[in-house]
Amino acid sequence: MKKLVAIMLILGAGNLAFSQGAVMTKYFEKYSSDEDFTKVSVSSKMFSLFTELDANTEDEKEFLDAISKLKGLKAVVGENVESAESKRIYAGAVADVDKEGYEELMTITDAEENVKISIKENGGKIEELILVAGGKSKFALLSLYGEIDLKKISKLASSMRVHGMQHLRNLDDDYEDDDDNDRN
Amino acid sequence: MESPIEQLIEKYWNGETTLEEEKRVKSHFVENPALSKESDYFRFLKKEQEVKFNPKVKKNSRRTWLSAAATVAIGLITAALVLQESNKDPFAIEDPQRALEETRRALMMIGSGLNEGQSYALELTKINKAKEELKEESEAL
Repeated sequence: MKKLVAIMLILGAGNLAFSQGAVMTKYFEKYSSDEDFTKVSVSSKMFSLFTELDANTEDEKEFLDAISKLKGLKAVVGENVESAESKRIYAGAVADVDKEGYEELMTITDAEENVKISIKENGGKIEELILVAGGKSKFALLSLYGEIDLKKISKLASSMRVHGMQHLRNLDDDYEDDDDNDRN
Repeated sequence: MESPIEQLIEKYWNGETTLEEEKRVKSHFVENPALSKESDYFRFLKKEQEVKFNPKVKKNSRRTWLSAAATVAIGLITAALVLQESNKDPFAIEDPQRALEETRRALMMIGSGLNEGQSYALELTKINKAKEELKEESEAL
């Protein structure tokens, strides 16, 4: 009997451990049928598959290293959202994140967009990171789950900025497109 | 000439006795235990007949518990699996290449946010440093 109870508890705990926070679930459900919002989910199984990939370049190696301990990624990204609407969703999402007990890591507010990064720690290690971003016509809610190394991620972003000019150019194109949409 | 009981026994071993004759054979041996080795056999038969099914024999309670528990466990596990299946993420990316690309984009977004924050923090410390230097100089004067 005791063994059985133990097994059931382990099964239950396993379920909890791999499910990403309530905030993401809420927004996934809310925008599940809204086509203006792109929903992305990368499972822990997929991440474990990534660890078997071979890196060809130094950048790739760095990238694979940074994601090697991640267990999940979920994102809701809205494009072509009205400015007022985007602001409203941003404020709502920030409130939801705060309510769930995430700690604020940083908030950046400028003319272009607002970004808030919050984390959940467990024993000195970052276990989950949530990013909420709301800007002109854009909204993003992003959650990373697993063992997160901020140094690696930040280094990755800056090295990509130097080496990955291709990526940057693509990003710039995206922004210009959005500006055009605004003017229209 | 064989005695009638010997004839009966012969008949018994051939399997030709009627129920009535069989009873006579059995009682003959039980009543005369010293007659032959065969009497042992018949006494054994009589003893076996006395063994009766006793429905009040205690069932192995541990076993009962275990089988009940196992049944419940199977039910629960099935329910858990079904639930998990229904909870399966409808937006999960199946294509590894795309998943990798999305992960890269997400990390870029988080990373550039972090870097932006860091550069602000750096500028702030610079300003603070300059302020302190000014203060020190003004105090020195």
